[in-house]
Parts: sequence; C-alpha cells; structure tokens
Amino acid sequence: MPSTASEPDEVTAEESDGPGQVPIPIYRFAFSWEGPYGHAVHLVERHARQGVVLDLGCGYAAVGEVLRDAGWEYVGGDRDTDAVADVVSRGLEGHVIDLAMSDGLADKLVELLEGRPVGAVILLDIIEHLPDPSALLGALTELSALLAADGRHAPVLVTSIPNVAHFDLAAKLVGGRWDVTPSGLLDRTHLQMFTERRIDAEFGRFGWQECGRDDVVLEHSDQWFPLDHPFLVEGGLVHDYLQSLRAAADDNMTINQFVRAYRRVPSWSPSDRRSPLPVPEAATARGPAIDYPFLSVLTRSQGTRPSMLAEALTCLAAQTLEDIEVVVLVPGDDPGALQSSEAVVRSFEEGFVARVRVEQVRSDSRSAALNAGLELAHGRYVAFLDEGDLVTGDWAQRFAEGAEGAPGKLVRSVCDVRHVRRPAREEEAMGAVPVTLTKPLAEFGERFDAISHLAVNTTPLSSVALPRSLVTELHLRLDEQLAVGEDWDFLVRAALVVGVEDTGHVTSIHQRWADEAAATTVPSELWESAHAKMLSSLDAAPLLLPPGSATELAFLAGDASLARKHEAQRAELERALNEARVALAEAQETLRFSLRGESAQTESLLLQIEQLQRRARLAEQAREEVLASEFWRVTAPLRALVTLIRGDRRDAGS
Amino acid sequence: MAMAVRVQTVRYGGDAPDLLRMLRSVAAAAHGFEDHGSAPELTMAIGDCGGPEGPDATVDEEVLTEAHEILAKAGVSLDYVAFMTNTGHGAGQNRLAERAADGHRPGGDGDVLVMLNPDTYLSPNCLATLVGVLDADVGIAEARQIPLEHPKPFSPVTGDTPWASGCLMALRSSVFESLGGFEPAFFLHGDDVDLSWRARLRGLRVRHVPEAVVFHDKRLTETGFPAPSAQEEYQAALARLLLAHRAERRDVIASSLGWLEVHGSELQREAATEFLRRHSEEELPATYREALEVSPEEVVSVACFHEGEYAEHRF
Repeated sequence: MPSTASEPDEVTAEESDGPGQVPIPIYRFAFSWEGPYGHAVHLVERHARQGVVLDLGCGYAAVGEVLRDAGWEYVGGDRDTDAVADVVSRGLEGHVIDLAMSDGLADKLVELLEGRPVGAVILLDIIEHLPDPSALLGALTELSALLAADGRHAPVLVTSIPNVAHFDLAAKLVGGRWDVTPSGLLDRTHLQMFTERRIDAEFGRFGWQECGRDDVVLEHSDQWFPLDHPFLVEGGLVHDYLQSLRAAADDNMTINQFVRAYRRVPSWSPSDRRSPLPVPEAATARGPAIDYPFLSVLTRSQGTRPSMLAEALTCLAAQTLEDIEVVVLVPGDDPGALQSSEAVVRSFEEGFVARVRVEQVRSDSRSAALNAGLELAHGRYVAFLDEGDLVTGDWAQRFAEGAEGAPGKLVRSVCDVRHVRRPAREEEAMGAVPVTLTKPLAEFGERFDAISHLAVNTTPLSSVALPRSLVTELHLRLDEQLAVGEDWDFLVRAALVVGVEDTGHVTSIHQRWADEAAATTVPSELWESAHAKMLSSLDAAPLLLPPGSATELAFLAGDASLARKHEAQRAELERALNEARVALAEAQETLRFSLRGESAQTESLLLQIEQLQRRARLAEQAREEVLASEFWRVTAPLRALVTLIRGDRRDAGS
Repeated sequence: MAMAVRVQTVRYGGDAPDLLRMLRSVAAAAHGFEDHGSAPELTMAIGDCGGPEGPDATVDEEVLTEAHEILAKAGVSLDYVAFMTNTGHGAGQNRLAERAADGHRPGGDGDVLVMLNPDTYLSPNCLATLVGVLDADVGIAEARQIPLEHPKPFSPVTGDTPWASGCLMALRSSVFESLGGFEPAFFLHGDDVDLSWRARLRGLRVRHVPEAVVFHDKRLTETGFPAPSAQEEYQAALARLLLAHRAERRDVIASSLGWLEVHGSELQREAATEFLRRHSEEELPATYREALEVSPEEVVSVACFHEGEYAEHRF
C-alpha cells in the first residue's frame, strides 16, 4: 500500500471481520525499483543474511518474484485470503496471518518457518494501518528472541512508512488543510501517523535500531494540491519561508516514505521500554517535569588563565538565581588545560561544584567549542559567559524574569564595556590581574532592534539567553566557517525566529583590552566579508521581521530615496558646471578671435568673461559647500543653484 | 598554635538564601589556605542587627542550623550573636571583635580579623591571599571587588591605597585593637575610611590586593555605578562631615554644608542637621590630632577630600 502519488492498479473490497474490526484495504501496486518496494528490496540485499524474507501484510506480494529471483526464500503473510491465494497461485509461499492478532503471533510465525533461517522481516506500508503498531513490534522482538533461542540469527527488519511531516502536509496544515485521500500520504485508512521521531521512539522502545536507509524522496508528494494554494506557490514568500524553517528542523521534508532497515540491539531487554509518546508540557514557562535547570551557562576556558576562570565562576556562584548549571568548555586535547580548569572548579563550594561540568571540546574554530557546549547543555535556556567577562548577581535572575514573561523568546539584557590593560612588568601588585581603566561604559542599546542588527551588532553574547529549543528543534548552531562575527550571525538568526524580550537591565560587563587593541583588532576586510556572508545567508530565504518593522523600513527607504534624489541632483549640478566651463572656454576663444580682428567688440567681451569667471567661482564654491554639508536632504536650493548657473550661461551667451 | 582567622559580618535584613550562599563561599575559602601552608583556625562571626522590621527580626533557627552545618563541614566554627539592636556597621564589628578578645577566640599576636559585608561571595583563594599579604608594614589589606571595581586609586606597583573598603578587609587583631577599632560615631559609611586613615597616621600601609577577589552584589545603573539608597545618601553625607571634622577641615565642612543646603535631598539635609546637633552638644568624636597626637601636616597628607570622595578616583 505505498503512499506514492500513483494510483493503485486495483483496490479490492475492504475487508471487515465484523463490528469493531478495522478494515484494511488491499491494494495491488506494481513493483518498481523507484518506489518503496524497490528501495526495500535494496535494503534487504544490503543488510539481510541468506534465508527467508518474511513479508508481513504482503497483500498481492508485489516484491515476491523480485526477491525470489534474487535468491531469497520468499514467504508472504496476509489476512486477506484472496490475496494469499493469488500469491500461492504464482508459485510463491503464502500464509493467511492476521497481524492484528493480540497473542501468539510470534509462535505462529515460528511454526510456519519450520526451522528455516530468517534473513529479513519486511513491513511495507503496513504499520500505519494497524490500531496498535507496538503490539506487532513487540511480537517481532519476541520472534527474534525465539529464533535466537533456537540458534538462528536475528533477522533484519525492513519497513516502509509514509511521512506525515512531508513539506506539502506541513504547509497545508498551516493553511488549515488536512486533505485525507483514498490513497497516498493521508490514505483514509491510515490509523497511525508517523514522523521520523515517532518511528525512532517506537522502534527503539522494542530494541530495534536503524542500520540502513533508502528513503523515497518526492519533492512534490500526492498532497501537492491545490497547486494555487498560497502556501504551495514555489517562490512564494510564505512557501519559501516555511520551507527554510522546515529544512532547519530536519532533513525529511521531501521524504515521502521512510524505507529503513533495523537490527535488534543485543543488550536490549523488555525493561528498557519507555513510553514513546511525548508528554505535552504545560504551556507556561515552567517547562518539563524533568528537573532540568532553567539556565545552562557555557563558559569557554583556555585552561591557561585560572584566575580569570575563577572570577567568571565566582560571578556565577554568586547568582541570586541558583537554578543554573555551568558547562566549562576547554578547547583542545591538552590534559594540562583540562586539569587546570578542573582544579579551579573544585576549589568552589560543593553545592556549586555539583552544578558545574568541565568538558574538553573541539578546538578547530572559535565557534566549535560553543557548538559542542550547545549539545552538552541541559537547561531550558542557554547563556554564555567567557572567562574575562563579568556579570552582576541578577544576571540569571533577569533572564528568568524575561523568559517567564515571554516564554520561548530570546532574552536580552544590556552589556556594558570596561576598558582594561595588561599590567606592566614592574606593576608587581597586580599579579595576573588586568588594570582597570574605566568604569563600565554604556555602549550598546537598551533595546534590541532587529533591523539595525542587520548592519551592526550591539548585543554581545554575554547579554543574551536563548531558548535551547532553538538548538534541539531547529539545530541552530554557530557558523564555524565565520572567522569573526559568528556570534552576531548566530544571534540574528535566533532573534529572527523567536523574537527578543528585552529586560533593559545592565547585567554584564565586557572587558576590552585597550593596550592590545592593535594586536587583537580584526582587519576590517575580515569583518566586511563575515558581514557579507551573514547577509547573503539571510538573503537566501524570505526574512521575518518583528512587528513595527514596516514603519521603520519605510522611514529607512524614505531616507534612501532622498539620498538617491540628491545623487541625481548632484550629477545635474556637475553637468551644469561643465556646461558653464565650456561656455567660458567658448567665450575665451571668441575673444582671442576678436582680438585678432574686430577690436570694437573687445570691451564688451572682456566684461562678459569677467562676469562668467566670477559666476563660475561662485558656482564652484556653492558646489563644495553643498557636498560638504547635510544640505543634500533639502533639494530645492540645489535646483535653484543649477538654474542660476544655467541662467548665467544663457545670459553670458546671449 | 595555629593562626586564628576570624571573619566578621554584621547582618541587617537580607534574604536567608543570600546569607547561606555567602557562608558557603567562606567555607570553600577555608580550603584556600591549604595551598598557603598551614590551615588556620577559622571562625565565622555574625552580628545580627535584625532588619527593617525591627532589631528582633533575626535569622531563623533553621537557617542558623544550616549555617552551622555548612561551616562545620569545612572546619569553620560559627560565633553568632543577636545584638537585639541596630548597632550599625562599625560598632557591630567592634562588638564582634571584643567577643573574640573576651575568649570566644583568643586574640593572639598573629591572629587576623576579616571584616566582610554580608552581600558578598568570596572567590575560593580570596581569604588566604588577603591574609597572606599582612606583615609588619601592612596594617590593612583590602580585596578587589567584582563585578564593579571600586574606583578609588591604588598603586599597581606596591598595592598602596588611600583607604580600604569595609566590603572585605583583613587586619591583624593587634592592629585593630591598637587602633581602638572602628569609630562608632560612623553608623554605616565612612568608618572604613576613618580606620584606614588612622592606620596610615600610625605609619602602617593600607594595601589593595587585586588577586584577592570578592563578589559584591551591586546592581548596575546606566551611570555605570550602583544607585545609592536614600539611607545611604544620609549616611554618606553624615560620614563626610564627620571625617572632615576629624581632619579639622573647616573648609570641607563649610562647603559640604553649603552644598547640602542648596542641592541636598531631604535626608541629606537631615544629615547636616544631625551633624550640627552633635557639634553643639559636643558629641563629635575627637580630631585626629587629639586622638593620635599627630601634626596637622601629617593629617593633611593622609586625609584627602576630593570632589565628594576621599581620594581622586581613577574613573
């Protein structure tokens, strides 16, 4: 019963064994290597040992001959007697089996196998039709155990399951549509809906672990209708935006059927079963029942500056809000650096130490350590504090208040900057401590402005906490390709998905090293290139901006249009000036000519030249003033000036 | 006999979790001495002034029990006393120090007193580092505050500083005793400046120790400095007049009174009235010249009044 866009060759009458029984339609799909059947056969060939391929819910056994011809011992099972009779009539082995039977399925399967080894059990577009897929998975686990007890190896499990998280379905559901159809992704007889997460959870619960995949990919599924639905318009803003979000969540948006192979995990035991169904979390900021901390703080440590790490940790240990965990990230694989950081952590009181982990992480880029930290974090929110930066006692508390007021949004406080320098050799009292040069200076705005953040970053990472759901649901990470500005890019991408809640409180202090400015300042080309990269990645999809942006953009566009007007006026002014210069040259020519011949006109010409020269000087002077001032915002005087110059020329030429 | 270190704090209000957090940091700081040779005998003394609800709003029994447990685990003993009156900072510290001298903990020659604000958190090596710099010359050692560093000056070469903040300062018991403790005329502000000046007038150094770090729970405002409360404004105004009186700086007294009259808040003007009352009723403390038998030149060289502060600030 493949859920491809194609129509079945034949659909027999639906079976029903009486009231309360669920009808399972029997489809007669043809085999094709491009469809799920072909993909499943590939997986069998790749992963199964020789022996029986047990095709449960085989219907008319579309894969029967193909598998038999490839050397497998095909055994089909279905509860539809007509279908089984058809299978048997084609010289294939077929049995009448009801997969929905509550007990004894594993025993029945063992019985019909008659001691033969089993290479694979295949379930092709079948489990979505079952009222209780876990009963079948449990029976297969039992079968596997029975075979093992008998000295036979465990079969692989190969399945094809339609994907209800295909983009077409997602886009239409946003538009309020859920179109059940006679067959396909939303076949009206489907009793179960599967996403990859559910499959992994259900199969994992019975000890089945994926070992191979050959999914059927369809850019457009059978659900790609109506074609003029606003959210299905390719190149349409909503379509493309939804697609960019859907693509961020996982790689499955064009997968029509998950065609996958599974092996039993040898160490699995029935006691490993856990509920596969997600428990809805309260729609408040309180979060899941599991006791995860509110905040995970990621602190990068070089392992070479223990006193600076100690200061950062002191700030964290002193937080009024204690519902935080700290992950100290030590990049590289130097055991000394790890030990040094661990020693600093251990020097704190045990209650705090219990909330701190020290982890050695990849060091290939500045972002790599933080990305590793994002994976290690458990908190509902994640914040960042590098050694060297300091925070006030209400840093975490303000984040919590922000998250309470606007759950799921990025929370932003304000970071001030204080300038420090390294102590000179003779400044012995300082030890390894930097000399502070200024009080914390306000440098970054009190509120987050999404549009201006496209041009400039005024939000250091230490002043934000972002919901970890961005990491788990959308796989948000820092761009490890960016040598600089990776935090800026990360922040903007996060902010443009969930929005920003401002606390307005100054809670962090960034230390800026004054005496090292020249050495540590990143060349502007590098910044420009990082900025361009960030913009081009944002430009790749439609952009979502917070409410109020239309007015702000209109204002900015107005400014830009004034600037364009000014540019046109300036060009006109230049042309007028050039015309005046030409007129002057012409007059001089005439004069020279006149001096040679008709001296009577000389005096009048000289007068005109003098006039022209004076006005040309005037015009030059006016032009300089115009260009040097903000005068361009007012274009009327500029036009008057052009007229004046042109008028002069005409006067002079007349 | 091992050196004894007595950390003293005067409590007035505040939340129990904050107090316990501070005590946990003291317990951890006790281990900091392990890297500095012999571990001292450590006592944590808390003088309880109650809170805004009244002098009997002292710490709950359960909190005290927990405090005991936290400290005992690190081998730190607790000396808790409910004053049942709001003594103010300096007088409270004096009382706690007297308890030590009275036998709660013998005030031996090498013994050290550490004055600590309750709204703090010690970095682990803070106490050991601070106590380690005390010698025959250094009378008072002061920790560096984070996240907001105090703007008063110090020498990055010698660490010398005009005065030490009472947020976290260490001094030998003998020095504290010979200086006569804090001047009780100061209630909340200025007693640390006064003690530091007297130490310097006695020829002792006051040293800032950048490597000894204490977190002081100050919240930032847009000025880059914490906002003072109304009560702090009153106490600061009164402290300035008292310090100027002790240093016999009539010019400072006159200009301060003038400024308070014109620009001062109601509470600040009340401070001026209180100063004048004490003056007329001869309740003001002795001048430095009288108390320490020093020359006017010596007083001038130590007692600095600069733009409302007691030193020219760095920023």
